Amino acid sequence: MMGKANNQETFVVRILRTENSTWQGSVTWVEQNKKQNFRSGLELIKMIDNAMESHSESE
Amino acid sequence: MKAKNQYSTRLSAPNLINLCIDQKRQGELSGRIYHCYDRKPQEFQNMIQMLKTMEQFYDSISFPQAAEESRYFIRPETCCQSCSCPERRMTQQELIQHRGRLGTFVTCVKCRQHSTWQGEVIWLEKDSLRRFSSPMELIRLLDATMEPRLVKIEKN
Repeated sequence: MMGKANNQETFVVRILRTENSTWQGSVTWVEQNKKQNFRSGLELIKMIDNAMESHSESE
Repeated sequence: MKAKNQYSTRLSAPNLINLCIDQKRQGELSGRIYHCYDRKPQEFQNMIQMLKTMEQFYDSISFPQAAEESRYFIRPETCCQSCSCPERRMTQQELIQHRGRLGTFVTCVKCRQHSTWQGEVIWLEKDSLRRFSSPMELIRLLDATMEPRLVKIEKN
């Protein structure tokens, strides 16, 4: 397994639509194999931020 | 002050935020956030921090109420926001006295529909009001106002 620096996670973002002046799509948290749909850029940011915070707390 | 007169009716919102932009470094804006429920500013080093602080503030006063519940990978522990009931520490007129070194933007988010923000921002120094339909548009507006000023400074 390749070594990975602390606090590094991978998120694959797929933008499907751009309605209401923002983005809609899905984001996959690669290391946890979790996928979630988002309805705005703000929701996407909050999701990634929450994932990073939860991950760093669990370490 | 012209801004006070022209936009006085818009400055009465309980969730008014004064964004004082102090610095732009490597494309990132940083500064201070003031609201009526705390006399001390909350500092931010980048736009993500700014959005997070603003969103947490709207959640804390439940205004404007979010139309949708946020989705997360891991559901965060929620505390009972209604128990805290923050008290006002200053008036809107006191709030808008603070100034940013690069610019001062009084922001009023009117709705939080479609998991995003809709509102208005007043650039106090230019007495200019613009509407935005998402945080991304707000950031673009802030960023656009910074450019000519920086060019001017660099020329001097």
